[in-house]
Amino acid sequence: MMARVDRLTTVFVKDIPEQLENGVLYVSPECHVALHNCACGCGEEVSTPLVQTEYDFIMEDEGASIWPSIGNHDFPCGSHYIIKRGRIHWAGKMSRQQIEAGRAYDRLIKRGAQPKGLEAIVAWFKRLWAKFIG
Amino acid sequence: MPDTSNFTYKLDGRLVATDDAILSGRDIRGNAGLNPMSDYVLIQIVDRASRSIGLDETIDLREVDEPEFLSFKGDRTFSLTVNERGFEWGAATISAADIYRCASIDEDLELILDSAGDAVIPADGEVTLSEKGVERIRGREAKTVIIKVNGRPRTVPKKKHSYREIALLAYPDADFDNFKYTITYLKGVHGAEGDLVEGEKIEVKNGMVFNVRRADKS
Ligand SMILES: [Zn+2]
Repeated sequence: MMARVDRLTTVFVKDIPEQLENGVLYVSPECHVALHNCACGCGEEVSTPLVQTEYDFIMEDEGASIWPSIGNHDFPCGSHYIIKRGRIHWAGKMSRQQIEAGRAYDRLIKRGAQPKGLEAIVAWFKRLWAKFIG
Repeated sequence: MPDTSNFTYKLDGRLVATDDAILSGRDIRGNAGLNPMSDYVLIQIVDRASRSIGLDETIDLREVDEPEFLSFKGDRTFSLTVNERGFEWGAATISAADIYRCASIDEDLELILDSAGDAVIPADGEVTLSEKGVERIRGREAKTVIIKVNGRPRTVPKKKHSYREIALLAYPDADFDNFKYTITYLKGVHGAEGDLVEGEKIEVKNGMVFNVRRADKS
């Protein structure tokens, strides 16, 4: 079992290597994507596309921030964390209901679909974001 | 008063201005400070072909649209054909990038070397020329293209690819029953970008970018 990491070092690359090192956030500006191994150390690869409907990426002196949070609910580890200025901020595991709400919101911003309870989802997201930012 | 430099041409990628409509190979070498002149080969790119320009040969800039020359240190010229058009070159190697550019070949086509049994010349490769033979090169519709999937190059058939095919390129052990894969794409045919969902297919082109995310965004 690999150790969990609490920091990610950002490396800018043209192509993402086939094998990732733990604790490194690989960013390909050309391909609009960042990849890292799950910070819990489980070895699963996490892809965060850096496009409008996916993730925002900000590079600062202290390190990289990726928004919104990384929710690896499909991995056995179920890790959930935020990458902020190169540091891992661990968040609680999400309930199935929260995960489904996230998925519904995801579908909404991508396709403009109108699932039921849309306003509630958006409000829930705003609360979640506010909690994380604060 | 009209501009004193009435004519321009390109030498090795740089724009040169001149008052003279008619220039000799000697003049062009002299303007570039290539000395001694006989130590340099001067090549002119002309309508998807190229030819060497001797010291005493003259060029009328009024008759050429955007005249372009390349200089090479050396005293030998090499011959090749690209899509049946004659090329002369001043070095023993020519890069695929130069062939695409000088012969105006569409970047979606692949270059084929006749003498090597129709071998494909990689887009970042080069061809070695000999003083004796004439290398024959042509462009043809590529059978494969190189796309980027999660930032990694993948060679795939040039055809329409489905949501599942792209997801499998990122995650060869993808489990569609239990997991959700979100696919976004950029730099597609005619600049296409968007997201690819279950049941959809999309045409691919060289340099197209696909990003596949397995985890949920929360
Ligand atoms: Zn994990």
